[in-house]
Amino acid sequence: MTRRSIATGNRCRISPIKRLLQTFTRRLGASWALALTPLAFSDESAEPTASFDETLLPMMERYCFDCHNPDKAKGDIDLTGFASSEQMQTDRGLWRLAMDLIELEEMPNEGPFPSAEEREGMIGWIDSVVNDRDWEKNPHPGYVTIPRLNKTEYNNTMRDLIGIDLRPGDFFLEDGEGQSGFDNDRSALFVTPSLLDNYFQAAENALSSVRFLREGDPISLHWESEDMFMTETKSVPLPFPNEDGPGGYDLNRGQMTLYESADLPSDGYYRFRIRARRRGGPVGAILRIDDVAMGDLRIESTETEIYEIVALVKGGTRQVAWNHNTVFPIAEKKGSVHIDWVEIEGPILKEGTALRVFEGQPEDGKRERFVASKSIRELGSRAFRRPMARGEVRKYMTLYDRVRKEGGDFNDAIQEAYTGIFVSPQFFYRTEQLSKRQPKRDQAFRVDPYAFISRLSYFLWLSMPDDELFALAESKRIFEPEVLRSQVDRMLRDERSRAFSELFLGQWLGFSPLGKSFLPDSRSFPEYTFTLNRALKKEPVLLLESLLQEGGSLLELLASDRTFVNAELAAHYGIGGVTGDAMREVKLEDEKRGGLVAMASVLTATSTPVRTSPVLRGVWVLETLLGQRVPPPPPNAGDLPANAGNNKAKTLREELVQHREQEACASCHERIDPIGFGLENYDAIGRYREREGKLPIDSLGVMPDGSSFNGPVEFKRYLMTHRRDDFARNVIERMLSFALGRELGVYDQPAVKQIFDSLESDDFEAIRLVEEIVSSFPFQYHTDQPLDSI
Amino acid sequence: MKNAGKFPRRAFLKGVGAILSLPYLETLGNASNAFAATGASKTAPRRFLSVFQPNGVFPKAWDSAFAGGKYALENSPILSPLAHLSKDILPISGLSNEGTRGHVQMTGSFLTGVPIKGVRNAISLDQMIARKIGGSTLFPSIQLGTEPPRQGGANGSPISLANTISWSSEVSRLSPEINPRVAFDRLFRTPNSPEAKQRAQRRQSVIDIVLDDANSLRRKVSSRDQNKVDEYLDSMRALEVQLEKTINPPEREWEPLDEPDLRRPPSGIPRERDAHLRLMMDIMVLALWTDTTRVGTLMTAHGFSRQNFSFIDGVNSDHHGMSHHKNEDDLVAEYVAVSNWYASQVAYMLDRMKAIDEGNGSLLDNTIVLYGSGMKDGNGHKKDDLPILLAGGGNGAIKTGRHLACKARTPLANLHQSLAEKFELEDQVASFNGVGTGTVAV
Repeated sequence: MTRRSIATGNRCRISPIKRLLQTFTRRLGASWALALTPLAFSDESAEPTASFDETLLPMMERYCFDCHNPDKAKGDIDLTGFASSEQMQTDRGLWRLAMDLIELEEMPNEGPFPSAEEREGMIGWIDSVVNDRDWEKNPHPGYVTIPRLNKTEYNNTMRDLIGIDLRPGDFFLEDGEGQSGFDNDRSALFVTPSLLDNYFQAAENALSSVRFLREGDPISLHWESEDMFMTETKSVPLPFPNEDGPGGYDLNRGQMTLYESADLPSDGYYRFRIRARRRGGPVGAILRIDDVAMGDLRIESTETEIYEIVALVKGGTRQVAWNHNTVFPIAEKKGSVHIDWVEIEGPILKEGTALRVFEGQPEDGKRERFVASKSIRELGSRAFRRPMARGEVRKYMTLYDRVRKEGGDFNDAIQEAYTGIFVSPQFFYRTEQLSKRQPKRDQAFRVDPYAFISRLSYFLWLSMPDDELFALAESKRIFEPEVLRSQVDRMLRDERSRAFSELFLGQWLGFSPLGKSFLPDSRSFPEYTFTLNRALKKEPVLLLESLLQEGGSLLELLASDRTFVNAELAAHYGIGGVTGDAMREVKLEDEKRGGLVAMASVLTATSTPVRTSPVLRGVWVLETLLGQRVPPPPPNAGDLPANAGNNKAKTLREELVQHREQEACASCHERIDPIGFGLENYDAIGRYREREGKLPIDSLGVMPDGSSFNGPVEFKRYLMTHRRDDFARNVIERMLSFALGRELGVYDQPAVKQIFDSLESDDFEAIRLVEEIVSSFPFQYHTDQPLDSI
Repeated sequence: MKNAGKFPRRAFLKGVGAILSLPYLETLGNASNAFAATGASKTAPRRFLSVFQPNGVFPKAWDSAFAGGKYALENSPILSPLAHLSKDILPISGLSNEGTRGHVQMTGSFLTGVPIKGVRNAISLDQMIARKIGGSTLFPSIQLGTEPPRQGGANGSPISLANTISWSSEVSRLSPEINPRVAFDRLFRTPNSPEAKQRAQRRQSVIDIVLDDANSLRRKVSSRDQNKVDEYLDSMRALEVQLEKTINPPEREWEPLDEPDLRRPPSGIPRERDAHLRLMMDIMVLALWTDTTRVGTLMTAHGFSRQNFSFIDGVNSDHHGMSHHKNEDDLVAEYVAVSNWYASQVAYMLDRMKAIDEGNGSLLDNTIVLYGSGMKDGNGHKKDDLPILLAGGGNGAIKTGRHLACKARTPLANLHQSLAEKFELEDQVASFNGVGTGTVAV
């Protein structure tokens, strides 16, 4: 029964299924396009009738049996003994190995060699056989290797451990995205000597900074601007002071850099102040430290006032520079920033910060070791996210004792022990194996309550559990459904959950790189400013946050009568009546906006830097939003030229239609392009338009099944009526994958189905999705058995 | 129990340290301390230093140093400060910065030979040399300068790219350090400081504890997850070997004959331009002298500099402004005066290098210095017949004390090709960055 995983209607995007579909479509002599049709995903799909004898056997005879026969049995492997798929299932391990070697093109290692198509065919066939199981009867929670904290999790965990957000891991290399497409994917998180060196350095920096805050003297610097360095020395300071104002440089263009070097005593938050005024039109000022933008200001007044940026800065000697900055709305006559003086103060303890290390101090040198061991146990238990054993406390006390013996003071010695805790594998690996009753290795078991609260907190906060969660782990009450539900609710309302909304959405929807590695061309789109970029990336995050905190249906991500904007983004959208830089919720008067496909973040990320791309948008909707696989274009397909759409006689659509007249392309593009056409009313940075140049936009899209939509409003209705279930299933799979830190497998389908059914009966309530995920089998259970050992 | 295990392991590491330093000792054939005294048995290494001057020069004023076939630096109102060093200098004419336009490209190509496109360039000559010989010193190369990256864009590239001539790959530029104290500390204090050693020792004792922690974790996890813990154990052990090198650094291949004066510069950036530039030059000379590095680049200013030079008598404009002189006499006079000032600073640096005895000649003799600008006349951004000179000579590698006239429009990359060969890079460099067409007779 090799077909069940298809026949049960799985629509997941996971690789075994992908392979399976490719294989079947190929084997049935169908075109690539079949993989895209709803049919191939649905219950009615034609069951492949081809048998073992007709498919795998002939290929094995040609490519495998020369070596793997009873006589030669190369590598002690004889493949001739398998006469059916049932027999193959008696040795799944062997066949998984075979599949890998064929995929890596290590086998066959002598000619004749299979074509790429035959190779995929063999892989798909073997895959369908070895992964064919009734996963409801044989539940498998999926195997994950021990998770290492990724960079975000590391920074957040350090913040919660020491009580101040110093981001000590910011200088680490970025973690790669794993198979799941998320950078918390366990498969992609390695440990190297230089990473450990970084952990040492980060711990040492963070701890010295906290000690400086407790023990050191902050600095306070004041510079008159005319005494500072200026790159454009053709510009001279204003000849003031006089009745027209104080003296100092007047920054009237981007190049003018007013700078000075400052010795900052430790890493930490510093207050950077300028006394400044605006001359002429709207203008801003931007603070750069060692050539990195640290924050920007709007200079509101034509009278001198004091403006302030609080920024997290590395200690040491730093170049502190101020530049002029363009602000929204872009005026015809730009203003200039006249700076009277510049000040730096810090490091400061921001309001509401409560340091959580170096708290205990011995009184008059009494009971020193007792205080020390208490400090170590307190931090260690939080850092390891479970009570620290007595033997462990003793171990770290030896570090304390050694420094004391060498003449270090009490805090020096504590710092040494803390450093040890921060480079211990128990800290940056999230181990889940430490319950006293070791469960049997060969079966899935529910993780212990401490491991469970870590799963919860790293899912919803990307950080460690807090004291309330620790208490619920200790009492084991966290598994009580009511308690769990109220904790999920509390965690989603906590500001730490912003990290979840941002990272999950940004990486799922693909707008994370906006403003970093991807930017619209500044000559084509001067309106795409730094501040607009910031606002439009917040829009979807705030919507998801609102759904999770105040309630609402996940379907609002498809279409909604509200969204979140500030003045600049509202102007970008043509929405009136919004002022100020702060983002806020607005009720939408028409349906041109609302929903992910109408958001500038998504629309910009799915365009090229200079023009829209109906193909990119179509593929994005199918793959990212709806979770359907789109095969890559054939190697000789070619792209439209980068400047396509600049042709005055033709719209981009007409050029594209011409481009895909080749038959090989048409079968896929029939499904991709109509979607992109439906969104052509949005330009490459997401502005609404009726015309492209002088020609009117034709935004009619007709899908192969005959359903059609004219423009984005109708397209959103099409999504709601025709693609609702695809979307919902995809959101479930993506979020589950993020929560588990791994790519989903076929064995996760029962959980996905259960969550889907529950959501469907509750109008796809967003909070319900999170509740269902944390209650699901894969989220609560653990196995040491990877799939390939079954 | 864990303490019992500690000593043998540490003892073993010490052994590793000793083995690592063995090759050096073998080459020396002598105890390390005696080496400085018996330096004659070893020759000082060859170094490479490139000094960049922005905004070009007034052509006639530069060219008069070798006009009419007569090599006489004193005849040039720009190069006259270098006249007393004329035996150590080789001006080269005829080289061209082909294919470039504007300050960003013409700076970026100075050591790469190819123009910047967007944010992409190519690897620069100094970095090729550093890859070859940089492994022998604490720093493979260093970059010093006097101005921060300027903001804004020009010809489709960020102006900030022109703050350096060093590119370690087509997209990675190495920004110069402009703060003397920071540069000094990074080169001479941090790596060998008592604090660094103490930190390394402390880390070692921390490692003892966490390795123990990792081993007990290893016993609790499944056999598959043990791989993950092993990854940690292996990495930690590799880190220990590195720490051992900090605590017991391997001997240097070359020690200066005389004790260098390692006086720490004051904090902050000097207000006076010449004081600032000379301080950076002092640090560069120290770094080469002490064999802290063998490859350096020095930006006398940003490649698109608008520095004001009103401290020079008769000069009122900024450097970039005066370089677009439109042949107006006043501006030309200012332009020449500033170029002369730059040449004086270079003379100061070369004099210092010449005064340092290394047994087999001076530090200057053992260094190939490449000085010049990426454009000829700033007025029109002229790319042909660049103002370039070599100084020093890598102990006979370069024939100085004459003028070398290349055929007009010889690619700048051909000079780089020739210099690369002086560092035995001919195998790697067939055509320098794909634009060289041959070599020049340096």
